[in-house]
Amino acid sequence: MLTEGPAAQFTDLKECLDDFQQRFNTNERVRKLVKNWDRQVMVEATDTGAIYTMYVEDAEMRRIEEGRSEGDDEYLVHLQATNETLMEIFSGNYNPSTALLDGMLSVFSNERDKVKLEACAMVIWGL
Amino acid sequence: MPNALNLDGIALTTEQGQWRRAAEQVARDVLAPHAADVDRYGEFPHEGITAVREAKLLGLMVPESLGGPGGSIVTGMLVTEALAKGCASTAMCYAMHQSTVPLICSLVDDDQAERFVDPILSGEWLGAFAMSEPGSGNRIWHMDSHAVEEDGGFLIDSFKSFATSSGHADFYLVPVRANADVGPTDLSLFVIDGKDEHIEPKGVWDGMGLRGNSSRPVHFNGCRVPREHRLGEPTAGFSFMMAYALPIYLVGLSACYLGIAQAAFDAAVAHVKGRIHSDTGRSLATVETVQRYVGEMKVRIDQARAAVLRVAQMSDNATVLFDEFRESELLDEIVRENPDDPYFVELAALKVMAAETAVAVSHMAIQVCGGVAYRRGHVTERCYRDARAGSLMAPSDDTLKVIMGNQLLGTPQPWA
Ligand SMILES: Cc1cc2nc3c(=O)[nH]c(=O)nc-3n(C[C@H](O)[C@H](O)[C@H](O)COP(=O)(O)OP(=O)(O)OC[C@H]3O[C@@H](n4cnc5c(N)ncnc54)[C@H](O)[C@@H]3O)c2cc1C
Repeated sequence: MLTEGPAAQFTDLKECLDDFQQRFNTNERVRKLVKNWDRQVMVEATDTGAIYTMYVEDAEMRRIEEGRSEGDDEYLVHLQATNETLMEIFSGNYNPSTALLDGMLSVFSNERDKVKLEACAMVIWGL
Repeated sequence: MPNALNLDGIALTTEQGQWRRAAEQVARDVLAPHAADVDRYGEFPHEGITAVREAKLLGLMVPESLGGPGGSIVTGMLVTEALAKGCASTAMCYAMHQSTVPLICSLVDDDQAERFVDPILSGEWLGAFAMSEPGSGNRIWHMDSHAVEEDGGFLIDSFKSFATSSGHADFYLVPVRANADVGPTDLSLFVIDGKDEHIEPKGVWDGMGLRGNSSRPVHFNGCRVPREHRLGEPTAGFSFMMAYALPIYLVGLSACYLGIAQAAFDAAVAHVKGRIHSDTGRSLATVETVQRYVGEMKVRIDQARAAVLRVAQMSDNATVLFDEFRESELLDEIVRENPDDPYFVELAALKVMAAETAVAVSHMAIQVCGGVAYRRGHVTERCYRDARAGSLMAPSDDTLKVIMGNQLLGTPQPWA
């Protein structure tokens, strides 16, 4: 559990992702952005080994499941960072593009999907 | 010194290298030989523009989706800098044309693509971007003139205080308020055919520098513009200009000023090597003060080039993001909410530094060349006069610094 910053309100990564899911689904702009963008976003904490997959379908984040994505690799976006960095990112405390430039986050996906994520982060957090 | 290690530091793609070489060839073979006359007589650079058309540079930034080569902002910057080394007037006409292209391409429908983009691509159409108005001057986010809707189209009565290529452009991209009742940033964008007889360029352009680029006022005096000549939604102009014109406009201007600085530097280096004093029998190149100036000019140019390249790359990334917002129909609201996003502030800082660099370098170039450089017609004095436009072109450097200061300090912007 983090002791400082906005992410400190969450006890673990899952709780942080649940909060993010709610923000995602209640943000009209995000929903416009992810129209026709059905993806599995797999979040992997490199230090704790925790893995969650967020399923985006029909302009909504339908569910978050523990474990690796079961879907087609073509629709997979894979994010890797430490648990703390992921919590900072998903609580809106750390711009993912900055995290990428800082070498704190790895994203395995096609370029278009990276931009889509950046755009989502921008509209959710007003970054 | 030969460039033995060849550590240029910029890894260009094959296409970027080809475009840059094409522009360098045009600059060397056509622009540079005409530059002195263009400047002396204040003549529009017809030969230069013809060479630019023939080299297909006008369509460089037309995206692949519209049948173009899909040149990036980095490529546009390389080309503009190369042209500016030959003739700054031609390069500025090119830069203003280029500022219209991504904007037009981002908004056209299929029919408009055929009508407006194809002739740009073929090199037939050189554009002018007529933004500045007498009322708001350098504060180009504010327009006073407006369109009037009438049967089948619009009536445009708009006086623009400056427009590069005025009277010579094949088309004008003209932002005006969508109608009389909307605010100054609710802009419609019109493509007006250069042959429209209601376009009235005013007077003769007799500038201190950039003397060939015909930046005189132009009055769109009751132009009847068909509906199909309006791009996008009625009030999309402001946000699309911010996303698709401002980046290439400010990077393009900066590249132009960088090319001017480089041309002044090259001329100064050539001069000091060849100028031998009879009493010492040595060239100016052996004088330590001159060597120091040469070193200082290089530092300034290198700083500017690194900055232009960095912000050009940043702008290419930003374009991808803007495309994403455009396709999701979010661009207008997102840009309007973030007009002083740190990215736009980077663009502002770039133009300021490139303009200041060009003035500082050409000033030093004159200094090391001495009295001969004070004579009309010397390359360095021409560069100095050309460079001086940099800080005035909109938004003026002073305005940009105020905007940057406000953004960094969290204080209200002039448009708020
Ligand atoms: C060579 C050349 C080519 C041009 N080409 C084009 C073109 O193709 N298209 C086009 O639309 N325009 C063009 N322009 C016009 C240009 O972009 C500016 O709009 C124009 O130069 C503004 O002049 P102005 O006299 O109206 O400036 P003003 O707005 O009157 O400003 C004068 C000075 O006042 C100060 N100032 C004003 N407002 C502020 C502020 N808010 N904060 C701080 N300081 C401020 C600045 O020092 C500024 O330089 C061109 C101009 C030149 C010189």
